[in-house]
Amino acid sequence: MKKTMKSLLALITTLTLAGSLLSGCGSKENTNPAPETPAPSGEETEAPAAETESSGGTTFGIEPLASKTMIDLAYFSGAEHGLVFYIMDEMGWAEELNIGFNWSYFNAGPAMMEANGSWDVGTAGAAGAVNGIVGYDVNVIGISQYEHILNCFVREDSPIYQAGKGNATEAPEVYGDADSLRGTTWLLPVGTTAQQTLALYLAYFGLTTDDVTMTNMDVGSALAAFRAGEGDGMILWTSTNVTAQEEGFKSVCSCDDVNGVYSTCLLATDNALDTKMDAMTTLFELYFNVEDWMMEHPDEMAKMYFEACEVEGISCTETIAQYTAEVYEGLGIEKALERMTTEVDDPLGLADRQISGGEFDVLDTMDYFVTLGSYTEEDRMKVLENNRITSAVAEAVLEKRQ
Amino acid sequence: MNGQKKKDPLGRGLGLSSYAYAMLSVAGVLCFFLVWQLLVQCGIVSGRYLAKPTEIVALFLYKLVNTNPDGSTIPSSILSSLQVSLVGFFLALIVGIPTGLLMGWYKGFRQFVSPVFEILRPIPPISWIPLTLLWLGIGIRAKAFIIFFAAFIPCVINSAAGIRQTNQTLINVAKTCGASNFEIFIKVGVPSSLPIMFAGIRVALGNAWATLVAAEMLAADSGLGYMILMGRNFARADIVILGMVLIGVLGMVFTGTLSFIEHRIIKWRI
Amino acid sequence: MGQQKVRLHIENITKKFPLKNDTLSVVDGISLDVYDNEFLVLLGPGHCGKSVLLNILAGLMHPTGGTIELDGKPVTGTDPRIGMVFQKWSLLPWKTVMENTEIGPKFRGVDKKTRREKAQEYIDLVGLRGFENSYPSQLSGGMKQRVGIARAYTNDPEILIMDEPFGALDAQTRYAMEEEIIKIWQKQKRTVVFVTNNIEEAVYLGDRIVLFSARPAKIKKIYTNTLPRPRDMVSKEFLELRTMISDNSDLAL
Repeated sequence: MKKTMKSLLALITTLTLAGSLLSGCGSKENTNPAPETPAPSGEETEAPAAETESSGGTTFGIEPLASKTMIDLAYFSGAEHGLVFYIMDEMGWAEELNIGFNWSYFNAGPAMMEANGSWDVGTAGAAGAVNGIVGYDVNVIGISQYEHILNCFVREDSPIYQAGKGNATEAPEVYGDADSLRGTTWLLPVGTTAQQTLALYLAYFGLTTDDVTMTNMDVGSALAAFRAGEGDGMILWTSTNVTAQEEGFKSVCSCDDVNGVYSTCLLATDNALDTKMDAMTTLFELYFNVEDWMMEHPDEMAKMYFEACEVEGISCTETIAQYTAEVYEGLGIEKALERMTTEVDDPLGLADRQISGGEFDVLDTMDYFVTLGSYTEEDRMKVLENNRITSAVAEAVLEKRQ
Repeated sequence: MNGQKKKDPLGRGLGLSSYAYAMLSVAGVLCFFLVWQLLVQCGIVSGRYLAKPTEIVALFLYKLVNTNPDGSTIPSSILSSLQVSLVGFFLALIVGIPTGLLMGWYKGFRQFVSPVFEILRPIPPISWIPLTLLWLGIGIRAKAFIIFFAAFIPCVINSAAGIRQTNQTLINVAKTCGASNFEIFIKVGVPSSLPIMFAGIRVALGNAWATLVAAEMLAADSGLGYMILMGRNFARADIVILGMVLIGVLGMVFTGTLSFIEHRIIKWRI
Repeated sequence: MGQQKVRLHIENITKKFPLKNDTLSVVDGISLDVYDNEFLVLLGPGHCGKSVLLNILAGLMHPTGGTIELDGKPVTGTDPRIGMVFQKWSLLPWKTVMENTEIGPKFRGVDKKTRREKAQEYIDLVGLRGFENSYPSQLSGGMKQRVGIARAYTNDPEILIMDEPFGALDAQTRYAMEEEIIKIWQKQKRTVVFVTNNIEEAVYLGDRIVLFSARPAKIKKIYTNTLPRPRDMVSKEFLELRTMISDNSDLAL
């Protein structure tokens, strides 16, 4: 009798555990319910000049896919790297190439990476990308852009601002000094390039992030709290950043002032690379061609950015959109291909081979977090060994173009 | 081994000794961990998504003194979470229980307070977060307030309900012995309300602890909820699970302590 | 009866409860005198209104009309001069036997030593010596009622009202308690008003038995019981009186 009881208990426990696990595995998680793929707008925006080289007669001269392929897209709301997808969809350029999207919406990298079971392609900042390539079946297939809108803000009366520029010999443009910075409280999204910026900024004055207090908040909440008088400084990006500038907060250090690489990445899951390689190749080509278009048409880009933010419910003004378009540094197709296929030395000398430009960019962010202990050197090694930052797609594009 | 068998009068069950029943509970827990370990060990669930119990234990030991990867050791995380949640919780007791008792006893007070209370009641504590940020900033006060709100509601409701079911006969007894309404409130009403009140306190404790994670995720630099968030940021499912386990275990410790206190105070019940 | 002192004078008490479109008359003009140190039994069928009358006597309810005087002074609201023993649920479960017994003097602010002594006296009187520190949950039904009686006595009331105090007990215990209460009363005489719906109990206990009609309560008849105590429930005289009353009783619906 006791034996039966015990086996029954074990069986029930197993079933319960298995049941709960199965319901959790492979969940198709959408942060927001994905709307219908927006139909290409009927607006007549100026059609870009058709490329005369190669086949198709499509807008950028890219060969369309043989049959219609649906791609599950992880769309990062409010970010320029996500905007590229919005534009290509709105302008009908994706449809032209027989590509359709199923949209999932995210506003944070980690959440996107967790949901990697439900998307093929996405974009995220470098920190989010590192999360994905270390912890999940995600690969970096291209470097989308270099960020410029990332600043450390203080109030005008802050001692940091009052201390003036030039106290750091290596970075004459940043404000503040060791005394005014020590012991301050900063509002920022911890575990991101914002944190990296703060660390590099403090390093100019011989300080580390242990000398200050970092309070983890997303940029929207950070701005709201800062307005209400909380914290001594905040670190913001995208439209929130520009809003802060307009409200008169002072930037004491920008990402351009520090020696960091602020890349955002084009990502694809293992599954997508295994089963939809043709689509990935075509999409890669289209993505970066659209980036070129965006840089050639900043007014159009601003308009669409404004539109996209409205649709997403992200606060944006025309001024913000304009500024965003002005400083946007997408790689564009030539640079993107080059970045993934050029080889350089590993700056830390740990790899047993040369690394690609893309690996260099992403590792710059990852290495900072390795020094903090957030990732290990083993993680770094695995990323390189497993080619998580892969030039496979870029090379396929190059082959196609020959 | 205690060999006394408990005979169920209806002849149900196995009629095992109380030692055997205790062992069953232990077996249940061990089974759970065994199955968990095997699921990952045999690859049925990827080790990336679910850490083995052995790994969690190892991580726990490691993080007792190490701050990687989230920036705090376990003791400092626990301390931080405890601070915030206990402040909010005790505040809820101090404010909520007297409010509930008065609401249940004095009709005038109830009429005055009830409408506002009934409007506040259904509001989820988490939705207070934006306003709390504005009013109280981002420090311990703000987080404690959110927890206060979550814990305060059940304290009021149960204290009021508990005192309202005070036996009329007992009230009559006190009346015939010459007690004033206030005296009856304190000496008869309040003790009568204790069983239901404690049930409310238990719910409040659960709420407080559960809301803690949400409150910490809004703006924190330490704590168990923050640890989970950081685990997520760096794709460390094992940190997330460790955080959850710690939260669960601590919650269990709290409820156990509360039960112990309850039995000491309400010792007249059998 | 003319020589006996009137302790409680009840004059034309009525009680009506308002209903939706009507009023419910529960007590309909009761006038009654209660004599000093007598054991008066109020007997009536269930729900006839005798408990309501009792609550009015105890001051827990206000009459719609009529007055009550104790020793010539009007009674309005609860009065420590009128003590009450309830049917059930009357002990504070979180207090011990001693604490329950002394609760009357405690509310009145009497110091601990005095009230403990007094309470002890009555705990002994009801036969519960040794149980001072027990909790009600540890006592039997009969014992709980004895505590209730001790508590009522400890308050030193002029009048003791008992509202079907043995109604919740099983038959054996009930008989035992009926004997007990008479013994206690004989040891320490008080004026007692005792409510019951049990004819045997009424005839066993009462000096006078007031028979009530069904609701609304009116006095049908007052019987005088001169049988010597301790009474024998199966004696001829007892059964005669019992039958007389029973024939006159309204059935409760």
